[in-house]
Amino acid sequence: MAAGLPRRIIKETQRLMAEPVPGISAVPDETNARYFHVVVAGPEGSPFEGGVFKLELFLPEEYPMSAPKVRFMTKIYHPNIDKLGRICLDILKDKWSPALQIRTVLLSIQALLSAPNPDDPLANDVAELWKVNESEAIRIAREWTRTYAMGN
Amino acid sequence: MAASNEAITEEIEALQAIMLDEVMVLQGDGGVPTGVEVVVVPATAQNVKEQHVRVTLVISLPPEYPDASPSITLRNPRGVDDDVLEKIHQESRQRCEEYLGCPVIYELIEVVRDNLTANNTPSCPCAICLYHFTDTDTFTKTQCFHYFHSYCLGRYIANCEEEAAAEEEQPQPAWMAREKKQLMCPVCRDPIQKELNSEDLLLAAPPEEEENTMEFRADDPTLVALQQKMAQLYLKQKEKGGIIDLEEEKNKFLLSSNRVDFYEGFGGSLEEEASLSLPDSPVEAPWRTSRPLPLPLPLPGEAAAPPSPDTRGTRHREATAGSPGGTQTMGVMGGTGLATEEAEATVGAGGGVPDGEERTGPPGSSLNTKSTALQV
Ligand SMILES: [Zn+2]
Ligand SMILES: [Zn+2]
Repeated sequence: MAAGLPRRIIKETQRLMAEPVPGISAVPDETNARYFHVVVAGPEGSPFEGGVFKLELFLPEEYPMSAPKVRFMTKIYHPNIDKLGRICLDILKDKWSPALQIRTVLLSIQALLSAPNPDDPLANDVAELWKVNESEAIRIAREWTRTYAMGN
Repeated sequence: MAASNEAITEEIEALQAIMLDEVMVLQGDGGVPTGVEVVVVPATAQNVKEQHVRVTLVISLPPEYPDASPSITLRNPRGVDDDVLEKIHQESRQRCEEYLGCPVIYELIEVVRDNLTANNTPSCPCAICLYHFTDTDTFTKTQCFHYFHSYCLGRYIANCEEEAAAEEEQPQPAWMAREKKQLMCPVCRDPIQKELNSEDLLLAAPPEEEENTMEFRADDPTLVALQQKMAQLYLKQKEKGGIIDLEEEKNKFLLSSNRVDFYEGFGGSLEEEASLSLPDSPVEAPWRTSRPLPLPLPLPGEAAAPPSPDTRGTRHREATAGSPGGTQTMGVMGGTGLATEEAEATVGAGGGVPDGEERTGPPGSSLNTKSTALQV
């Protein structure tokens, strides 16, 4: 399976290991180097602070011409992440560019946790509450973080 | 002060005489020159085509200049590696010291130009394959001065064209109609020149460094330890009901076909694992026992996390600094387990073709259509 793995993926992996992004950990699966186990720490000051979120990331055959596929595995209450953990992020869709990397994608996801955008929702009910009653939405997000996303 | 101003004006006028309009004079209040800005390119006898690198040099002059050294900023470097930029900075500082009390602007421009001339091949890596340009590599410069292996850029343009063609074939409601896409530079999203076409670019040989693919070391101990740590986290969160249960959600909600599109990637490439997986339970895979290492990210136990009533903090410390080999590592194989389930779902339905039940959305609807989000 390792045969034919583009050097770019190897290079990205090596860099992710050697210079990990603060608050983010990404490690390839032992049997599939295109599949990454990812953990993102909830950013300070966000309702997700204190949580550690497990994500899965897959580099499709066409990568880097096509965007990586990323999904939250840990439950999260966020207007731009739906119940299946799918993420609404432009760079994962039409704004993807091969100059972006796993690193930049994960940084953007971390940023999305810091700055939820209920005006561009994926999880409609969450976004609705976020718009009409932000403090309640944040309270729920905190509660979900405590209930589901603890690392210990 | 007035004398100093005069000296500066004189120096700048001399500079403009030599460099014509390449120098932009920065002016403060009352027209006092406060610095200059020059786009510096390598000396290639005016042959613009052979100028592969450039940088904007900004020299700010303190009021005490030339008795005080100017400060230097290098902006918008193109094709210039950080090492070269650092070297320019060092040499500039040195030159400023040597010329303290004398005009130094032209000298500084020379420092930059000499360095660019000596490094007139793009020394930053190709943003598409992440490898540097070797002497034999064919590369292409975009009009925004970004460099790519011609082959890499060709693949990029071919991919954009394919996507555009696929999009055109899709029936879309009028409100979703998109304007024809202009090809953009992968790095800065500036438009790229229309003359560039994938057929010509793909005639170039693939980048040399990328050709000899090396073996991937999946059994690296650090890596295995991290995998194990993540599997533990996954297991703990799963115990607490913190992991999204795709099956359950699938039954609870009506899903559009994009779910299948989305997981095709996960599934398609995990076929091998799918064959190893058990039919209807998460994959139980013994994790390799190895010394657990702390995750490079601050876990809540270490950071300022709300302390829990039980001994979580202690347990966490055990988990990270635990005795070598002391962990019984029988666990659910984190993401792969779920992904494999998905792989089965798609592969089982006939090589990734979604079955009728799931194809409730319009054919070809994809993730980037925000409106196909999960219906509750
Ligand atoms: Zn390249
Ligand atoms: Zn560009």
